[in-house]
Amino acid sequence: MRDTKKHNIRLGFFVAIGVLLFILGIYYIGSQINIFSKKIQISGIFTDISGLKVGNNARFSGINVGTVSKVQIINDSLVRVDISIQENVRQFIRKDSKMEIGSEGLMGNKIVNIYTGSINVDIIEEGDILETIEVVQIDKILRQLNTSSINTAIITKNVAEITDKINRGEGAFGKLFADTSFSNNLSRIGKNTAKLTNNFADITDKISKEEGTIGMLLSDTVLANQLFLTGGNLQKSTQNLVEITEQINRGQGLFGEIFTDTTFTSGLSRVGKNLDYTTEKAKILSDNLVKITNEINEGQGLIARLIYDTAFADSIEIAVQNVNKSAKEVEEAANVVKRNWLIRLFSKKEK
Amino acid sequence: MFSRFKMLEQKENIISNSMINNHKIVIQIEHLKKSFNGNNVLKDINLTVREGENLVILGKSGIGKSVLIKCIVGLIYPDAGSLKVFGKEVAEMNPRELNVLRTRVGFIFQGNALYDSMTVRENLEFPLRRNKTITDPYVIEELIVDTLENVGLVDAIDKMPSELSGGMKKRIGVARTLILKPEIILYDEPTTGLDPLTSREISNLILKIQNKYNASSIIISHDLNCSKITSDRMMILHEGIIRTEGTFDELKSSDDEWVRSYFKID
Amino acid sequence: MNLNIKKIFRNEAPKSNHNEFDLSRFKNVESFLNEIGGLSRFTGNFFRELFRPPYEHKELLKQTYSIGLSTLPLIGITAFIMGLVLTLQSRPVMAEFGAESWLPGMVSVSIVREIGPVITALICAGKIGSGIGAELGSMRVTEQIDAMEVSGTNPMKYLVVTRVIATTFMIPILVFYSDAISFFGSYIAVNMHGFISFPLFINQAFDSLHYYDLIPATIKTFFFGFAIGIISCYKGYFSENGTEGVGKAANSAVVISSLVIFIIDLIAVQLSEVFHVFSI
Repeated sequence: MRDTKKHNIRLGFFVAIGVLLFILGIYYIGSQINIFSKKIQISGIFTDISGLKVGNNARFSGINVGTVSKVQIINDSLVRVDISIQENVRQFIRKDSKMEIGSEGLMGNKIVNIYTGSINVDIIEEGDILETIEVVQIDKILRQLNTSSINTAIITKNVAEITDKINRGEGAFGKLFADTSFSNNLSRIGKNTAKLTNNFADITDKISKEEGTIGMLLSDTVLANQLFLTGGNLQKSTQNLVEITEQINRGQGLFGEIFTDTTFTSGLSRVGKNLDYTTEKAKILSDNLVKITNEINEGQGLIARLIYDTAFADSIEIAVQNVNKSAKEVEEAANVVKRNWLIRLFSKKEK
Repeated sequence: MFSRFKMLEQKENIISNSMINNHKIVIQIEHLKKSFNGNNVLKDINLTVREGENLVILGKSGIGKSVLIKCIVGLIYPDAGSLKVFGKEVAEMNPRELNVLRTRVGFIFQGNALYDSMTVRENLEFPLRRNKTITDPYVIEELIVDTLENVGLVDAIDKMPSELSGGMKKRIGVARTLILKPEIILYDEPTTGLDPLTSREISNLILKIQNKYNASSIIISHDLNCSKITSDRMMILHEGIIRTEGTFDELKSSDDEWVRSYFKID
Repeated sequence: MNLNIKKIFRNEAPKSNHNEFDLSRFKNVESFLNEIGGLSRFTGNFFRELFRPPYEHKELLKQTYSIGLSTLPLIGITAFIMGLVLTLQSRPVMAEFGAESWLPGMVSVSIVREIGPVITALICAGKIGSGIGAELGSMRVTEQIDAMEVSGTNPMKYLVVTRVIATTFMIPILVFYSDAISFFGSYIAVNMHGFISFPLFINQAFDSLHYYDLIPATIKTFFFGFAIGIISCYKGYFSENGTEGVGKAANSAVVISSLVIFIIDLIAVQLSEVFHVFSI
């Protein structure tokens, strides 16, 4: 009987330790994947989740803070990713924090990176949808930039030809310069072009100075749209300029009495000035682009991350070259215009 | 002295024998059939056992004697025929009824079937704890000692079966059956493998038990000495049927040459 | 008579030389099916007796003790060596990839998912299976099982149910021990070639583990335990032909349970995948 009791005690000990080991195992695994801590749910909407799966980790500052709990297609182009985040890291994630899909290690498990938000923005709450960082379609913008610079080059060539012809006093232009409405037009177009170039330069300047995170800047869809729009307008207006200057070159127009009209000359002077400004801005623009591409080439800065294919890099380079070339041409043309006796004459007067 | 004692016993047997015919039937078997793998072991068995009688079934090894008594306790089910114990058909009993039957019918196995992993005490306790509602350990202890005294082996109470000799094992086997105070005891070759002296001891023990507990017994044997001592009535089982029936002396002096052949060794 | 036939089936073993086990038997489809049928019926009886009182607590504890505790030293030694060797063997390959820091994680996953449960179950099939097969076999041959039945004890309940329950619940516990001891062995092996603190080792080991590693592996060990118990009991319970039959019962108990362990493992791999999908 005593023997049985001794056996029972030993057996109890054996079973208790065994079960304890199991519970420890459960607990340890649980603590690694944080199943027992309180959680909140946040989401992000992506157009492409590049193979992210339920159960993949979510990281904040490189620490695993949660897991992907659900991946759901919400319409033909958008995917919603739900992430459960540990309650205790909630306080560090702001409502303007952004999500991005990345990959971990060599084996390339997909992860969701959550980036720090601004300190003055509220802390996230259950069910919040965070902004996401998508791979921006920069090549589209660059394509526009490219067209614009080609156009700019044509304009400057045309302008140079015009001034050359004026210099040589070729007859057909007599009529042309008399038309004030034309010169005003030209002036306005020039102004617009200058403004657009200015905007463009501003944006690229921002990028190159890395104001904020570049990733953020480029991910900002508002900004991207702006950039896109600007590029579009630039293209349009330069197109206009091309047409006009070509018309002038071809000697079209019905105006003969230009030389008597001072308004014209002052207008022409304004054109020159604007063109000058445009040139300057174009220079800055190209400088900035050069800087960016250098950085990209050297793999420096955050922007290097944005480069995901060589085609993109190539297109940036071509664009920069074009802008560079056109900027030079614009400068030359502007110099030619400035040196023109006619304009010098009238500009003094205006002063 | 020994022979006088034996004669006295035989005398008693004869007296009881004449009375037994008036006793009620405890086991009744009619047209019992059993076959294994198409081999008809029992073809047509008819027999009755009355209260308080010792029936010896004689027969060669491996002709189904054991099968017959195993049918009685429901260890084996017959293919056809009727087998009534205490007036009830064994094959139609539910497990509970069968358990009740098995407390009333003791079975002593050929190899004793003592539980190797238990001491003698535990071996005796085992059927007791499961069938009787006795839970008082003192009563149980008393019963165990009492039963062991009956078989003359009180000393072996804390031994393991492996420490016992063949005869002792047999006695413990008997004690384990006796502890439930059965009304019928079935012995499967009780003297097989024992030396002649021990065989005689066991045979006498069987007789003693019959007198003390007034139990009916079926003894399966091919040992003539044992049969002679224990039997009130004998049967010879041959080729699946009961060939002949009678007292030991009747059969021994039978006209049938075939029957007498069984007694030739003596 | 209908009832009789039922009882005959319930109480008697399928009539064949089912103790033998060798591949030539499988050519005999009939006897193979007979084996399966017998085992299925036996399992059915087990479940019927499982829920029917009375319950044999004392015997169950005794069996649990002898099956669980007495196997622990054996399991402990094997598990330790297993963890040690597995780590030492994997190290060169991992080092080639410069991924030595993944060693604890890789070893822990292999131990928890596969090696721990399967090796432990195989050792138990050897030790416990042969033990049960031989014990019940000799009890059958010496008519102890019959004796039990005539003394009003259901041997199915007393011998089989207790043992099967004991194996079913002890093997998972032995596997927990085995896993833990293997981890320790692996830790020692990792430290043979460098130093890594135990907490870091544990962190790295558990970092790679998920519930879908541990839970299906644990569930399958219950099946391993059940298979070992029921097959060994079946083989022992229906052994025949005297002492020779006992040996054969013990032998085939080990062989068949080992085989069935692998079959269960094969099924478990597929089902684990399903669990993996649903668990997240």
